[in-house]
Amino acid sequence: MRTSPLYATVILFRGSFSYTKRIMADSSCPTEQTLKDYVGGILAEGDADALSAHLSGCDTCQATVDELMRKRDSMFAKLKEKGPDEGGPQGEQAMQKMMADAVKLVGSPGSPGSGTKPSASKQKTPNRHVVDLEGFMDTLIQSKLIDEDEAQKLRTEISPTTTQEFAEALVAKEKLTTFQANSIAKGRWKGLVLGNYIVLEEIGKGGMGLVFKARHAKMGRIVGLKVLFPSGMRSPEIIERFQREAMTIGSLHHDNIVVAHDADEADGIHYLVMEYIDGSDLSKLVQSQGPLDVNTVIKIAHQTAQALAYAHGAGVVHRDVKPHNILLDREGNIKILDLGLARFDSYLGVATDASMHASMTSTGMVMGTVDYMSPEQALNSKYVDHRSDIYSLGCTVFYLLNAREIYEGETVVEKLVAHREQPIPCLATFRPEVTNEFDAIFSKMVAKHRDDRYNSMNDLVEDLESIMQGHAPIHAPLVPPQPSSASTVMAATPPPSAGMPSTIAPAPAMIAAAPDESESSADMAQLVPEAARALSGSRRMPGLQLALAASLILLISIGAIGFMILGGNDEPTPDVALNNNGNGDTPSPFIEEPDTGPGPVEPIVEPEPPYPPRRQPPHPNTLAKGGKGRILVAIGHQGFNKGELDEIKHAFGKLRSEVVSATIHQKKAAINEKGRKEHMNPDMDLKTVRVEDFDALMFVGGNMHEYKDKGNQELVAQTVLKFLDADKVVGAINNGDEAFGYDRNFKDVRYSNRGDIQLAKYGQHAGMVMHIGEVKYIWQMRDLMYQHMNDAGSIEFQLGPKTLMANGGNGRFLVAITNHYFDSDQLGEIRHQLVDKQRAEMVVGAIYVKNSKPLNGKKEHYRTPDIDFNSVDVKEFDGVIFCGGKNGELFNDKNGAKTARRIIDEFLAANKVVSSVGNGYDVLKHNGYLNECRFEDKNSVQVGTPKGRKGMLMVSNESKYTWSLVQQMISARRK
Amino acid sequence: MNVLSEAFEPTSMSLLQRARSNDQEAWNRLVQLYGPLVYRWCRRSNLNEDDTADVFQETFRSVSSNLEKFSPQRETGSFRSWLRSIVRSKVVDHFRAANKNPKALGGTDAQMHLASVPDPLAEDSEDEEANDQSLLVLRAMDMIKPEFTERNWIAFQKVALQGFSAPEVAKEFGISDQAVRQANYRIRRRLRIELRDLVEDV
Repeated sequence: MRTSPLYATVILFRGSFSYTKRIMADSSCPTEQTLKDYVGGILAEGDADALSAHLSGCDTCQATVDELMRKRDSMFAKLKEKGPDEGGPQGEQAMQKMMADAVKLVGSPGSPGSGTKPSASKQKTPNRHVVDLEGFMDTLIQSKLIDEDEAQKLRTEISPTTTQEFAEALVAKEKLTTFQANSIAKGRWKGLVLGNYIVLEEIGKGGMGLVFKARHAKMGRIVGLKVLFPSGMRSPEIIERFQREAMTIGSLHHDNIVVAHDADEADGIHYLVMEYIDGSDLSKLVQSQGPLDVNTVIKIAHQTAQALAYAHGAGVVHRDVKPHNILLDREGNIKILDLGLARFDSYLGVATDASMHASMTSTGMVMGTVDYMSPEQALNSKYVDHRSDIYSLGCTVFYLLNAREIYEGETVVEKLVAHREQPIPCLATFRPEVTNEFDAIFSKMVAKHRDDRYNSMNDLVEDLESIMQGHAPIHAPLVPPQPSSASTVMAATPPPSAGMPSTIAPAPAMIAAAPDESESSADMAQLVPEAARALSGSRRMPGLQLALAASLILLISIGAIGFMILGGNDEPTPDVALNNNGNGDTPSPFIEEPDTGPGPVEPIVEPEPPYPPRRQPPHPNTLAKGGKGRILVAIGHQGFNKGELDEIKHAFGKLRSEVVSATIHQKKAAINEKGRKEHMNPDMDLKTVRVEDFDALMFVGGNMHEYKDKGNQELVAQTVLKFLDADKVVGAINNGDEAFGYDRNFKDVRYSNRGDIQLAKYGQHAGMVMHIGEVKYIWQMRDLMYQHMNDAGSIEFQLGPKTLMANGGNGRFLVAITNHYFDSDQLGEIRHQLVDKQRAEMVVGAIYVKNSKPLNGKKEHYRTPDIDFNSVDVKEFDGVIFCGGKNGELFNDKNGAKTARRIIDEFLAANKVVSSVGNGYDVLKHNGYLNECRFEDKNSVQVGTPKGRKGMLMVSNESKYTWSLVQQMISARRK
Repeated sequence: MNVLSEAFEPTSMSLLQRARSNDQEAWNRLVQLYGPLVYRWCRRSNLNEDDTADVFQETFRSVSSNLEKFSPQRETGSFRSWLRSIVRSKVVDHFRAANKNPKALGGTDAQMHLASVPDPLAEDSEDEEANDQSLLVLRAMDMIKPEFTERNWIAFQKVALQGFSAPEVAKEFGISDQAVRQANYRIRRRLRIELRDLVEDV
């Protein structure tokens, strides 16, 4: 039992959730729930100690606790006396033997002396409570923080009676940090000294591991160490890959990116050595200071975007942009953390996609990351590109301005759905001082579809700079000020406030968003806690008033009367819908409350959900809802294969999944089997299917006529696409694939075999298409389907056309020609080399294909090119060749140049080859790829890689060396 | 300053978490905890002693290699139902292999045949679940018992299971009321941590 001084220290150490704090605050008894938690063993130890102290002196609470103890709770309520064991005593013996064998399964597999795994047996059980003085000494020496002689000397010197006394003295003498002392007291010594680094304190927790502040033993340099969570399952290849990539990231140097010095390993613990930043991450900052002011947020966004633009230029996508990963140092500089590392989470046992997040939150390893995750990243982390970072930065901006996430939801799934489906909030609804311009930028950042977002981080930087200088954004279209119609604008949730005055009129100038360039980073530096403390209440005032103003606006907008947006800068002030009750003498744009007289306003009760009511939740049997699965099977009413349906029911029924049949227009379906003239009633109409009620869609074979009917094709195609877009599986048995194969949209699906199952992705859509020729493979298909549904995207198979080298083909190359004059002889030569000689596939592409028929030098029209540049997906090609001709449209024309650069950038980023023949060279030159590249002559072809990029450029100045170029492209890809 | 207050808390890692990080000791405990349950299920599936031993090993082999992937949220249920699904599939595998030998049925026919074999593990009644849970809790209690003094243990049993009040038990042992309440708390806490992520209601 604790005495009161200890009681006080407990309070110091507990977090803000501590009950002790609560009872200290009002100096009354703990709540009944707290007492219940104590009785049930739910209360944390520190709190329990404090409560125990309280109980000793409080009769009331004692009585309550004793009463609670008398009631059995759920854990013991069902407890029955042990029934007779099956198999009797012999059974017991046999079971013991089985268990002994099973125990050997873990340890060092394969080695007969398993169970002697050093790390497991040597390591002190983590469950151990505080170690005694001897144990403490042992652990201390083992930790190598203090050597044995000195430890003994210190012990003699201090001559402690308890472990605690000793530890405290060591901390007082600065021999140990508090963190080190705590670790050792818990019997943990491993990792306190890592290689050359002495770990000083824990400073954070990331997706992959813990972050510590550490000191180099010899140089004294202070660094941040990111220590990976240990896992026995990691293969050396993965670690090697991690280290290699960490070095790539380490080669990035930007003022706003935390430098990664080194990746190393000591005692089997892998860690990353980083620059130590003395400051705060933005999440902590907002938690301690509340929402930041708009100008500060713009500056933060600007610096962050610049750093990310630099990283994107070097081919690195962050993948986990969020307030926790953005630091603000004491000089007011932004520093981005964990660049590109998120990608390794999945290799290292912590995944980034949604399904895993759901599971990780249970172990507390990844918290809330979905709040900043783009819809496409949530679906499948493979789809992530730089535009995903733009989205996450947008969500971060929202958080910084409002101290809450952009979309709220109870569960991870709800949040993910919100990111996909909720309308984009209007910033000015939450923060009236946000200008239209900034709002437009924000909307473009968090667009649902990445094609609607900024094309590049640089465009965003440009726009932010524009508004910082008081101009309109260049890339983001300004949306007209939104009326407060309930469907498009979400009501703001005001910070709780009580007893506010009824009239408030902050001067508009104070909050108009006219960024002042002169107040530079020094202003931001003040945000860092220490500096902030010096700031007086004067700085807080506007915030408070704003909060009040926001509450009032909310009041008005709930009544659908209207609300205003403060305009800024030289844009005309948008219309302001005031509900002014004739009190026209106040210059404030804020609204007088209509009817209430002076006096304190009732605290605003805000029962309203901030978002439109949710749709009907998905069917409880779906996997997403924790059910056993629900499969929709589409059958043809003119004769379907009942045997196949039965097999599906059987296979899925084994897993207790529900199988629901459907036809179009819910017609009775004829059973198409020899000698059977029966019909069956389908469960539902395909038209009324809600995708969220099912986990997969399947077509069985038979007469597919109704699905091929022109009038139904659209319905079928839409249904299929909805399933795919929800990252679900669409399967077909036998000729069932005619149902969706008939529609021309699906002609391009190219299957690749996996055992007896054909798999495909359809275009850019998520989800997966599966096909089996015979129903007997339904079991494999079922398992693969569930694998996909349980762990979206985990099925690895080769995507894209069969001719791709990655799929074992001879290669597939894009050959770019232009609409003006292109050199048809060169094209002929390229075709000869690529197709005739190398048996590769050649796809001719150009811009503006729809309206054009390219001419050759003899003014003959070429047939329409195979593909428009805008629909080129680099994943489907091994490389691109720019053919000679008048290529001006690919660098002089603004749109053409942009498209060409996109394609070139993507090919390079995908580590593929970009080449030119003859004056196709001009496209590379005028788009600036040659400045950063040193070429080497290889068999009459110039070969090089642009600085800071991947992939390869190859230039053949003369058509006659096309053979060499093509050969080298192919051999480069073979590698 | 009390630098040790944090250290007075036992680790918050549950048994499942520790087992997942390849902790030999935790694995051992997991086997001790669930072994009887797996054994019971095997016997209910009409497996004989030899077959039970096979399925038992196969089950735990599968658990050990898939433990990392298990997560209470994703698997829509407890560790128990996950384990049970493994046992079920191992039993089916076993019967399938056994059926193959005498008569070479193939493909769909074999599956139809299998489907006609009653699956004693398919039904998962509530009562059954409660029974299994009792077995687990009792088993876990056996396992943590050595960590506590005899007196505290009996005091805990008396208040938590036999319905005595704290003052009654305190009088019997001649200790303070609060010591009894603390004993109850500590043992309950320990049990909870041990079983967290494994048993519902914990």
